Amino acid sequence: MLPSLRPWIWRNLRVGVPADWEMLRYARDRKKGACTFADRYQYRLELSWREVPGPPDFVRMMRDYEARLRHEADGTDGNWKRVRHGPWHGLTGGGGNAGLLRHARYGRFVAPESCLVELVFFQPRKEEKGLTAAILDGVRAEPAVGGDRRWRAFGMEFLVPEEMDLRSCRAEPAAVRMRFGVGERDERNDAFERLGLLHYWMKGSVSDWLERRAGAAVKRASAGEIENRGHRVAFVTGRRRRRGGSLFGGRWLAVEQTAWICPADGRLYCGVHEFPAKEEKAAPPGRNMRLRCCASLEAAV
Amino acid sequence: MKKSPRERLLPKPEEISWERALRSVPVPNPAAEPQGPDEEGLTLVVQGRKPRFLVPPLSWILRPRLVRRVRLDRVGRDLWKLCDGTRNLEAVVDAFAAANRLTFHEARVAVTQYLAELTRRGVIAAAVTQTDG
Repeated sequence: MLPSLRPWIWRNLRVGVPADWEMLRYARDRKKGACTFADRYQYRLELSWREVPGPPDFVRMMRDYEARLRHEADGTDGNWKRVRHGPWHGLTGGGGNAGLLRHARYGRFVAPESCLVELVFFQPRKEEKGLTAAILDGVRAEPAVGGDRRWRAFGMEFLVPEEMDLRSCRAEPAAVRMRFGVGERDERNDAFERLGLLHYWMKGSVSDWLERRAGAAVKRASAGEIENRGHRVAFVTGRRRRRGGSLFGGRWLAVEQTAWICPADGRLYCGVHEFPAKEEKAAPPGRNMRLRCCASLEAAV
Repeated sequence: MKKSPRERLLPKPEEISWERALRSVPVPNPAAEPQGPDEEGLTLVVQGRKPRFLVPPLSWILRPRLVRRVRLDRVGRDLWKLCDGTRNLEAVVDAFAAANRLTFHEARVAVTQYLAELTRRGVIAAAVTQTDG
């Protein structure tokens, strides 16, 4: 029986993996990078992407890759076999005399993203054809939502404006922080955090924590708490001075921060949205960022 | 030359595989005595061994401290309780993950980092099996 697949969305690419697989490596670059998933014992899947102008010559690509694998195995058998699965071109094999791990590599061109997507499956115990097929079938480009891109990773689901790039990502035990920005100085930026182990370090309420997090640098415009579908959501809005801003109105950033503890998983979620203060009136409130912790709450900042 | 994903992701032959490391058993140092757990953590008193060279008349002059105190915070206290020598690392990680609502790998990284520190401080040792079998 196939395990239920949990979707991850990274760089506009949606992939469903078994719920007990976790992303242990990731890349921020939109043009080229890879993410790696592991079960509890070893790496199981690498998803890589590379922006290309058009569909590559898959036949030649697979032939070159097969030749390289044979070279690595010093000519010993690897039982490499070319396979197709829908739009995917693949090569599967390994586990021969050279002691190579059995693995399968599939590639396809994802037209909406204009990128070559490759999946490498590591299959240590036995080939799980059904699971491989289910994962391959689930890979697709995630459509934009009203000019925003959806991300789903590390237990968070959120929307960020399409023009923003992932500037930093830190995924530590029970502490994930992802920050997106646009512009040379990130004058617009969104950040999302998900923190755990609260009973070890959190003292006081979420409002207290958010107040401390905002710090003295943010001149408060409003702060408080609201009830939203069983979640007590704390918020702080205000302005902070930006380093190196221009003299005429570019020195201030409007800051909107929100945080809450989700009763479903006991984690602290926090979203921060910053943008030039001179645009404060023009920005429709609450449209810019959405962070979802569980099925019942998608909070707007 | 660029490494293939397989080369980058698989453990090198001399490294202990991830799976094998999970089968290792963290064993508490029998010389470490816990002193009354409190709200903020736990203090372990570790009785050290007198160095062999420390015989009279050198021992009349040099008096090294043979008792060390290791202070554990609340995470360390909870981990110390789990590392009773009967559970392997995987079971410790599972128990820690369940108690703190963490995913397996979140708990694995946290636990292994913490145990590495406790090993360095001499209160825990890891027993690793010789073979993968």
